Amino acid sequence: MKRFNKRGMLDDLFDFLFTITAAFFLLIFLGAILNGGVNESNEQAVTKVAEFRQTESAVNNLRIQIYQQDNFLSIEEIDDQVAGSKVLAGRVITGCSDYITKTDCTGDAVRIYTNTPGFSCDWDDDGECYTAPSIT
Amino acid sequence: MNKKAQFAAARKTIYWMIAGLVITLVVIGFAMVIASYRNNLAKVPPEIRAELIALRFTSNPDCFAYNVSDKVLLGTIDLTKFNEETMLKCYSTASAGGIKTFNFRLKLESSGEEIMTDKYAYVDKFTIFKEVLVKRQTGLFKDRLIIYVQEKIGV
Repeated sequence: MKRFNKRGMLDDLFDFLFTITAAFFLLIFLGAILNGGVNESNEQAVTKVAEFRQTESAVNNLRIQIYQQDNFLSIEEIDDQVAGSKVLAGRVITGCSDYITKTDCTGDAVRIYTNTPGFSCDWDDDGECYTAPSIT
Repeated sequence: MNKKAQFAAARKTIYWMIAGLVITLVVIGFAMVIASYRNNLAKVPPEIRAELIALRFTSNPDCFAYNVSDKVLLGTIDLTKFNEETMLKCYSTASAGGIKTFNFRLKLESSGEEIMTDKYAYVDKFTIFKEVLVKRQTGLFKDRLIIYVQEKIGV
């Protein structure tokens, strides 16, 4: 009789420990799933805002190009240039004129004209980068 | 009630006393997880809040945006407006507790001109970069606006 009761108590104890462990992991799992999803959507929102800011900066780069060079662009060209803009050291590069150092300019650091044969970036005597017809 | 039944009843009572305590803790834990989820869900990342507030600097003619009569040139800063006085009209914080909200320091990278909000204390949380055009007397020039963002200081 004594042995039977002991076994029963042990059984209860293990049931109890199992329930506690299951509840503990369930809570951790639930917390991770719920908060993880929200954190991910927050990160995505921040990324989207950064993308928007890049587009906005690219549009401003084009505005100054149009203003300074009296260079009118078609909607398709604007779309292409905005989509092709890249970030170099926190600065949005849309065309050659956006480079601020000679090395970046002459080497076309972010390869803005890689897919546009016939054009390259050149550094002029006034210390500005400009788009030139390529020699090659 | 025989001895066996008495023992079983006592055992169950002790079991449920401990189990009841644990179940209560689990329910409290569950409520805390849900509360934390709700708070997380309602929270807007500070980067987005700052970005939305900072839009006014380059878009609102009452701030620094250049305007010709009623036409506003978005993303173009009028250098004549780029001063502390306009900043106060554009964005100001409460005299009490203003330190607990966003404060900004705006710097034009090329020209080096800098202005800040009234409760700015050089405790930057993050920085926003914007390519802008600057309207000077001689024309429009390209520049980069660096917005240093200070989130709330203290608890």
